[in-house]
Amino acid sequence: MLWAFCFSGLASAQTEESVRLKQDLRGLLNSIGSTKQASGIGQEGLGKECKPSIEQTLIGKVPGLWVKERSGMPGEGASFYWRGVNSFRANQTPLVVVDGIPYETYSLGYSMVDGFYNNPLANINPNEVQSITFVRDAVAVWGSRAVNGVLMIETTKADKVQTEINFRASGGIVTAPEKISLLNGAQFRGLASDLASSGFSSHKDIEKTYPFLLDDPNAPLYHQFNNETDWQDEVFSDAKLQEYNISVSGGDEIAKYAFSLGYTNREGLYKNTDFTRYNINMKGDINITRSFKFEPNMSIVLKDNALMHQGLRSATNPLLAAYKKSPLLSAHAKDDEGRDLPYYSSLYFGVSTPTVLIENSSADIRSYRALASSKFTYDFGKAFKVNLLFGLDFNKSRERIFIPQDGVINRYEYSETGKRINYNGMRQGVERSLSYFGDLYATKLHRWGKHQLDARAGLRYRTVEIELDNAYDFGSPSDDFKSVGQGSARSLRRVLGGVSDNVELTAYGVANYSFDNRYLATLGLAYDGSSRVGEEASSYALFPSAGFEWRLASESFLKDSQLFSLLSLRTNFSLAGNDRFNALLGRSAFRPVQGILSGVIHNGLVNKELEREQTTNLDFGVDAGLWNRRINISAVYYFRKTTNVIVGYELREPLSGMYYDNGGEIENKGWELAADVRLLDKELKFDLGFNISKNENQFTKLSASSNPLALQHSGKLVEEIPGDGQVVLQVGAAMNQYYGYRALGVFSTTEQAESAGLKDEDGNPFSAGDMIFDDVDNNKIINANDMQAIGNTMPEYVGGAFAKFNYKRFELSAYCDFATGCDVYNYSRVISESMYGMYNQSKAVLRRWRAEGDQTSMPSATMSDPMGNSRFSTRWIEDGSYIRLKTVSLTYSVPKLKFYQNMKLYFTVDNVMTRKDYLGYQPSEAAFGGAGAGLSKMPSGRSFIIGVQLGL
Amino acid sequence: MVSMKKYSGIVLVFILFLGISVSSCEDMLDTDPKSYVEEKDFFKHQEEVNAAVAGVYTQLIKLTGKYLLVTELKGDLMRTTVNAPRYLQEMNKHSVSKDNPLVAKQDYYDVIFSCNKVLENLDKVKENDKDIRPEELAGIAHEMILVRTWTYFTLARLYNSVVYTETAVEGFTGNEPLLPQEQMVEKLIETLEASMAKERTKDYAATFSGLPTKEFVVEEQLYADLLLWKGDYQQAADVYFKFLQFGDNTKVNEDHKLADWKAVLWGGEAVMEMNLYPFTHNLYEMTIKDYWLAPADSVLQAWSLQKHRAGDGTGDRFRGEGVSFSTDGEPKIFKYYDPEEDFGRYEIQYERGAGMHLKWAEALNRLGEHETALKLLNGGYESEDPEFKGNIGVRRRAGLKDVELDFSYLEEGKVPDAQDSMIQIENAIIDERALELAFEGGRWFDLMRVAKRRGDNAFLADRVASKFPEAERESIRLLLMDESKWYFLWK
Repeated sequence: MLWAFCFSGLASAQTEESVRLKQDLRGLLNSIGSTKQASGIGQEGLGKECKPSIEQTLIGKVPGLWVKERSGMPGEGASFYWRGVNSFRANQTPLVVVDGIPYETYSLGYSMVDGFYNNPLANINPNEVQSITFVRDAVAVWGSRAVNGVLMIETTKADKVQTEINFRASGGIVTAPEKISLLNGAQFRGLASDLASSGFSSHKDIEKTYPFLLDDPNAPLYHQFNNETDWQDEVFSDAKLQEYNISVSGGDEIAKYAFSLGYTNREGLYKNTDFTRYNINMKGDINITRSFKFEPNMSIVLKDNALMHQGLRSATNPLLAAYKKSPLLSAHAKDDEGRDLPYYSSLYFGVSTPTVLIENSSADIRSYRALASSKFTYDFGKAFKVNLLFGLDFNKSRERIFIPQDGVINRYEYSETGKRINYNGMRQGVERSLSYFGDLYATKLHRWGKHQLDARAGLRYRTVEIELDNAYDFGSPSDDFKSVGQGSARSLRRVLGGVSDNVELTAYGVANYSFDNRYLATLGLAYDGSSRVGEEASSYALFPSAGFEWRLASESFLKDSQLFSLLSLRTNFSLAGNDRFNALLGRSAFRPVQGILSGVIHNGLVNKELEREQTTNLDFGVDAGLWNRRINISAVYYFRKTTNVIVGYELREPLSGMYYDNGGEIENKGWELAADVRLLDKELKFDLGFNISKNENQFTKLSASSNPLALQHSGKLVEEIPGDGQVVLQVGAAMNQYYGYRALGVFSTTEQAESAGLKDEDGNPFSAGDMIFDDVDNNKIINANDMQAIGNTMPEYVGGAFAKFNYKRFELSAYCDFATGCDVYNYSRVISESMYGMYNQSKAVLRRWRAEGDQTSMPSATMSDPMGNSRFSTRWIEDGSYIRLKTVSLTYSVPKLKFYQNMKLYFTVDNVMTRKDYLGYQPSEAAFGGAGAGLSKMPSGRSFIIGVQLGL
Repeated sequence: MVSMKKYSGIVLVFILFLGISVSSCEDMLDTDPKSYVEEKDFFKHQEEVNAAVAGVYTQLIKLTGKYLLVTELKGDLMRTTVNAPRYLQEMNKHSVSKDNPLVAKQDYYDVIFSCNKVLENLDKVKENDKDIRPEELAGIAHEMILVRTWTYFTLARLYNSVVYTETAVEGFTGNEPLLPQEQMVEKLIETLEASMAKERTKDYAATFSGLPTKEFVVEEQLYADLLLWKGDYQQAADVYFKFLQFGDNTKVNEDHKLADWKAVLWGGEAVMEMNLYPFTHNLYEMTIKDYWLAPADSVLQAWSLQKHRAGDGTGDRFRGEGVSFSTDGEPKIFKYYDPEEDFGRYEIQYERGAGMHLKWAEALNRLGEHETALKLLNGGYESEDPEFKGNIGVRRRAGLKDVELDFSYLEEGKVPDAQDSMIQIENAIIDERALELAFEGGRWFDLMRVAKRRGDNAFLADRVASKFPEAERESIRLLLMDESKWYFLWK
């Protein structure tokens, strides 16, 4: 079933010719696989949400595509997964194609700003996008890069003859979410007291080290330690946003043009954070002769990010610093009367002052992108055309970062003379990528009788060269000097860089055959070359695909049916390879090593025959359109098996390092269902729709490596994840499950602890007030052998729903998204509930165990947490299921007046409300890979937007 | 347009064919990544060999740190405190578990395989780079053999029987047999001698790459050490003598007596020395800040019992108190720390002049030249050789009285014979090594060497057991009486 949005203009004319054309176009679309377009994604819909980057508009709209926003930092965008996880080492993101040219996302995005992903997709202005199509089986045309689907983005075309001027302006505010409840001054003092008693034996020592606990007004620095600062207030502020877009298109039969300009500005929820984008697009559609067409396309984007660090270090991350810094302290130093002095207070308890980070630290990225392409089409007649599309894509990001010294805990380092000095830090970096692309293809449509054959064959070549240069400098004379090169700590300077070069070559051919528009068959073949596979593996591989569709609605027995205006059964098969892994895994090479001496070391024993991972995909689908398309249903059942999955094997002693071999197998199966119905079709129109998908993932096999020196696995692979956690891959289970201890409660009494008799790895006993961990192997010792799978990182069900009302000039739409079956690692709670130092904690710690007999799930406060009560366990794993009312939008079409063709006013609320169990901000915010983790990144807020769209 | 119809199919097929034929052209996929160089494109000229040699030394540096910690903790001079983590406690008590990081063999074999890879590729360099001379190639080969020899020698003394291979990592089959210690030492001497016989540039890496590697593995020192271990005392003594002859190598002379203690420990006397930062900083933290490692009581006592040489001031210059250990509060190991700068050291000397003199004395002693041995130990040896002069003896340099040999164990009236002298002098030398070279690495090997030579495991067991509290002493002693317990398990 096709909701061929982009072709809607053509389909509206009802002549015989155009109907046939519609069918042909459908056929052509079919030739690139069964397409599933996101419902309601069109120019209007995309612009109204004012999302900084385009993929954020896809949340909950495409069946099977799980879109997870990385954070609320404007521009960081979202990562997306389709049909589960099917690799460890190879990149799994769908291929993104913009106007026919692959858009580089795989190798870009690195940033020197802690915890920030410099999202390449944020260079596209959503207002420019005419349609987004997610193509499931595009391997026949796009080769193995399309193994995880293709996101085809089409920007506004130059295809209108009448001159059209469109103008759109939006503005709004974004409100910060509810703050985390942290302890106030008195409560902090109580916690500090408990911690101090556990760390010191005598009261005298405690009083000497922590004088503020005495609460004596005459003590020196009394005013320094007697405040009631709400650090979160210092960090957060509501944000403003505004967008302006203007586009002009027109032309005549010979030449058409489309030209647009856009400006976006969106503040972040932290003070002094900001996202600005300027873009200019120019397109042409020129019929040089009747048979020869030329379509130039140029796009230039300038993007500015003003950021704050979002990494796991409270030294630089203002949100973490705001959680951890004691409310008793203040940003500015105080005099004896308690008044603010003009300079910042000293850093007590080892936490940076959030105010300083907000006011004096800076992390700015300026990005440029230039995309230029040309398409030549020669029509030889008799539906035979040859096309040449070529272009270049240039990206450059320049970063400048400054971390002050005064008021911030820096990584103190040792200078040449051996003294320990706090330095301020400067970082500057450039990431540059240049990509050339060429696609030469021919298409032919052949008809005879009831048969139709349309074919396409082509050759595609693409190179990507990426260069990264980073410099770190430390110790400029004062915080006024912020550039690299002004630092005095010569021995600490670091310069890093890298250059990478990749080439992709694909020859492809696809043929669609249809008989009487009832039986359709597709056959495709792609021949791919890769520069990443192992040295001695074959670089080229063949990827076939085939599909068959039976259009029951065109059969004689259903042709005149009232019920079924459309009914198809489809099946698709494709084989695709994934080579997007690190080329060094299969190549014997020397790499520079850093140290006192500058040299190279060899990367050890490598598998020179390392091959691509292979995915076999099988689909069975049904599409139905009932009652003249009032109800549309589409369902697909899929089965994907990925073989040759690259797994790391430990090498036999005395060899070091890992050996990579194609020894794994992963299976994904599930279904995708989408339906929409026009419930009312009178003056009040009411559309309702939903999509839901289920994914069942299993890591099915882990074979021994072909190399006898590579040790066979125990069937379990454990990998570290940020935040001191682990995920495990076990044969027979779903991939990437959280792997840690199971927390069973807290020892309430000494008797209870003694009868349990549990000890930690070093032989220390767990006592009253400590966590009770599950002793899986029953040996009374809690260590790594007691770790088990404690949560799923990928959801079971994902989907969304929408409702649309149209009444006269009003339109009201609402979108929902949901996910169930996944768990989230709430790392921000680890920060705010571990109670291991003089850090502020959340109010949850008021429930902590304090005396014999206390029944609670929060352990006691002990300095440095010697028993590891805050180790990675179910204590931090939460249910990440949610259903969220994402966007509600009200549009009013203003009655037509003389000076404009159409005008619309709209009011949108985004991120309306979420029903969740998760204790953090947003369960849908991803942190890494496929595992959701509430790491301390900027949360998303709620936006209120009003706008006007004018067509002249 | 009939012709177009006819041709359209052809054009279609042509493009497809073009695609396939172009695709079979491998060169189109060749990239030129600049952050790594594939092995097939490497070893084409001298710079690349130099870079690989530098890489080998980087891996060696990593190894030496571990060597230091292991050979001192297993000995009788350094012990762990209650603060130390499990892996150090295990090493101290001679009961290491399989996952103890200090036992991992990978670091050793990383060095060995890297050396082998350079050695295997020297022919390739010769073919590709017309400017490089055969002596230079031999010089590179020699340095790789030196590094590899040192690594295997250390492995053999820690594990007893280890895998020996001269191939690069790709040639490793996993079925190589384990070479027992004795045979390993023979093989290493043989290979080293073969390499020494070749015409080669000396100190290639230091001269041609500017690397500070001249003192990383010193040929004479390593060769003499191997000979001493094997028991070839004459040969060993000759090598020591020849080496210490050269001007500045002597070091145990008046100049070095008057120099600042830093000169002794910070490079003035170095024979083999390496910049081990940041590992040295970790050592500083382990010995001072976190106090995981401490000096054993026996050596503290030995320092306190030192007798001063008459008319030579306070004695114990550059050893013991204030140098080897601190005196405020608990005695702490000071050799990894610069108290004036309040900072961990950068370099560690793991073989120096005084140490070589004592080893030379050890060899001479075994040859029956007791007089000369004692002179080197005590007041100085004046050789007839004009090249070797100014030696003042290790103890005199420290301002200490000559050692008194202890024959108290003999029956009343019995005169000590040559055998007794030899044993007592050897004991004195080993005790002197403790006082002079404590915590500088290699102590465990000293104890092993003497115990094996004499066939007297008690020599090692008694000394190591003495660093434990009364309650544990006997069980450690019993454990170490069994030589197989001295070594880490290979499997």
